[in-house]
Amino acid sequence: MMRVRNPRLLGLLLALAALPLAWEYVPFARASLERGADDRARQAIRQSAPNYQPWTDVLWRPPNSTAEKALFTAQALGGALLLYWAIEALRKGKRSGG
Amino acid sequence: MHIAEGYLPVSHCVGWAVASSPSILLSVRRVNRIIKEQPQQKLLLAASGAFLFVLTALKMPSVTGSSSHPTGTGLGVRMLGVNVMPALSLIVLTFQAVLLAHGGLSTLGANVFSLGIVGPAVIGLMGNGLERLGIRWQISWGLATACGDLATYLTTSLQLALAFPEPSTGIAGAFVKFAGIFFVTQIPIAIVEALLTVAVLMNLQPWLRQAAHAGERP
Repeated sequence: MMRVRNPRLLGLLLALAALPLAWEYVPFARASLERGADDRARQAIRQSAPNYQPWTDVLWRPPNSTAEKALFTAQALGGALLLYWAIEALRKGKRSGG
Repeated sequence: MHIAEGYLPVSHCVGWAVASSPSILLSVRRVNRIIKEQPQQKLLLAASGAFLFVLTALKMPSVTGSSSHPTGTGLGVRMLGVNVMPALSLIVLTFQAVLLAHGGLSTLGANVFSLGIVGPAVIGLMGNGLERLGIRWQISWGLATACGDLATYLTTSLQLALAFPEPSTGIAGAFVKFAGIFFVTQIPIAIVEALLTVAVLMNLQPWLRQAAHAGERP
């Protein structure tokens, strides 16, 4: 495992990735998250075009909302780690005259 | 940006897929070139894709009592240019459609168009334009990123309006309705995205000048 050269940057990125979970504990935020703009758009479509039937559906859906949040967090986490690694790799290349 | 699976009529899905295809193909070619011919830029590509992954996964509450996602394309546009974003967006959107049931495979064409084509185009034009006017790069690209975020969601609003016009007020009325759902909610999120993007760009400052001189060879 590589030595963490820049713990502050890593910490910031991990905190960012943890946001989807953290919001759950802030009352106003939690209510807002349940009324996402994507959901409201779907509702608006159902209202203005009540005869419209979605002609296909997703292949697979996360079994519950906890699983869904976990997957989003995993995506953010994976991205944060990759971003941290890429920045550190660039810095290492520069230090060695790359 | 994440029009849900099945929520765009078949003809529209096909239409947007056709509209996106040229940009996607050129983008895939550009990404391949970067990987093969400019290996130093591979890390910038990884950073751009990673940033896109992080930001599109974030659901942020907004002042309107609703929530939405940032877009995350600004980093890639500044570091490597507009042309890499359609391919990177396609990867992220496919990932989310299959593994998170967010967005859709049928709506990939439309979603790549808003997230990977229109948004980055606005960011690129504004960022470069403002910088050329002598405005500090942090402000130029921060403003550009925020506008690109909003442009992505206005595009989504237009796509939905074209598919579901209002009986009385037509496409224009539907656009106002959908933009009303997305636009105000998106403003604080776009601002946060701009700040995050500039913060990461500042961490990548030594490579900014390099990116600017590398230019874009199709």
